[in-house]
Amino acid sequence: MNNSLLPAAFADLEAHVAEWALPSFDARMQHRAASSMDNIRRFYDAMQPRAEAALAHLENFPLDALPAAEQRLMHMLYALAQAAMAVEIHGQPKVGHAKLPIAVRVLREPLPV
Amino acid sequence: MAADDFIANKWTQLAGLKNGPVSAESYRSPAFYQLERERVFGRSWLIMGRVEEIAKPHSFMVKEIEICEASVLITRDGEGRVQAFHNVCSHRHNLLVSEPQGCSQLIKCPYHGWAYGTDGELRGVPDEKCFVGLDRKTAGLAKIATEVWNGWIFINLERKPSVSLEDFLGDFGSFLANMEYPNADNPIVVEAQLDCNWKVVADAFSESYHIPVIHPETIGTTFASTSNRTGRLMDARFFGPHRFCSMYGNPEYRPHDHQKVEQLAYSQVQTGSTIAAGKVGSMDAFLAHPSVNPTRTKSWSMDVNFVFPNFNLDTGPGGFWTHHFWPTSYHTTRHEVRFYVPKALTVRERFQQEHYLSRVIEVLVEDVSNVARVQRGLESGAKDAMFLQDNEALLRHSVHHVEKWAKSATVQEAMSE
Ligand code: FES
Ligand SMILES: [Fe+2]
Repeated sequence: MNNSLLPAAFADLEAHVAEWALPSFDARMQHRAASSMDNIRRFYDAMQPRAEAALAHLENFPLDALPAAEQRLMHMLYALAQAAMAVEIHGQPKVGHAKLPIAVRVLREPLPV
Repeated sequence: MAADDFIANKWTQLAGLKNGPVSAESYRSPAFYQLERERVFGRSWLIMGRVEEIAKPHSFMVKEIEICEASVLITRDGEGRVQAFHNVCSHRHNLLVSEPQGCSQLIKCPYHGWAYGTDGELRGVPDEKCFVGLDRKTAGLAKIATEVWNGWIFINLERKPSVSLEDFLGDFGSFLANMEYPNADNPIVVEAQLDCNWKVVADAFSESYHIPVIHPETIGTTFASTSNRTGRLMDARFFGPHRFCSMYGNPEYRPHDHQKVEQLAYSQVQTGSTIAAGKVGSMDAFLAHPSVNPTRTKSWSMDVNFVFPNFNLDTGPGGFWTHHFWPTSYHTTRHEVRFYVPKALTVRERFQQEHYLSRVIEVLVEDVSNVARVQRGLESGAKDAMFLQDNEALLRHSVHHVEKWAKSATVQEAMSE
């Protein structure tokens, strides 16, 4: 039985799993919006250089039936999309004039979640 | 095109309206809200959703119309007919269905167990013998006038609608008829409870003047460029109380070098534009419709089709999306947005959709985080009127027709030229 949080080739990212591999869009979005820029950037800097390799690895599995470790890696990629909003677009953790928690809620996400 | 090519100063005139200040009262008056309840929402045909939401026989959904205190149960019966009912049990008027959707041949009231078919007929009454003189035939669910038009489910809360759906839509019906709706069975659903009048948020999605200012980093450079810095409209049209506009898009937009994640998300997935999730190729029939990008310009971002009073159907290179603006009080609104996207088949497509959704949510957050400030400004009473420019003609048209419906004793009067 393999109890690794992430696929073996991505073991170096395990320190980020608890914080960023969140299972819903809203959870990832609210977390990023409420985080400090330093925190977001630490995750972005670790994850962004591995994103292409992560996508290539995940392509070997059926999208709607990812094993647990692969599912976490997928959620890390989704969290990277969130981190990119802060790093690549806003230059701050959230829309400057938005209040926390963010009022917009996603009731039905893209599938599979 | 150069900036001044977009100066038309004709949209307001085309809407049949005069320039000049517009009264702010309809955005802040509790008394006006009562008129909107009875005369606007109580008498208009309202879009509740699409037929794909209740695709299977015996499926149903519940939608709330808070301003009219109506809970609406929309069903597809065993024969495939779509019909709306008040979601109210005939026995002692308990709300019948509490989940947002379901599928079953019998719908049972959770209070004393009366059961109804998806055709609204009363099918079962526990201990029926004790109800002296109960006639099941007259104790079915209360029907609401329903029409399905191009896959859209419309209802009208008047017991006997004063106007047919066809006459209500008028020429707007011809304008939109036979549009294909790609990915209509796969919406992303988004909701926000907002501290503003419903027209404040509807206005935010009816003009592109605000885009370079409030959305500078998210979409500022996709909706504006040096040739159109302030988001002047490409086209606008007016159809009775309904309205349309076409917005400029910068065909030169590309992600910057430092936007590595954006580049990766879009690198192996072909979408119609940088901010879209639709797949190139699957959009052809939709994009060929004469009322989608009707000026046939390359510099196109999106069109707004505003179905009076509260529904916004948007079209863009990557498909369509919708807004519902549901008033919950004179200064609060439930804003519902649906983005219709293809089913992701690969990991890369799914990742692109996550990036797409993340960005459009940021855009929505930019819009809706501002509306409470507008409402506070309106309610401060500091000003009697707003100044609207020609490219805000849809807002002027909205206020005009909402006020007209609110003033008119009959729908015929409200819809008269
Ligand atoms: S109120 Fe529905 S069964 Fe009594
Ligand atoms: Fe906006």
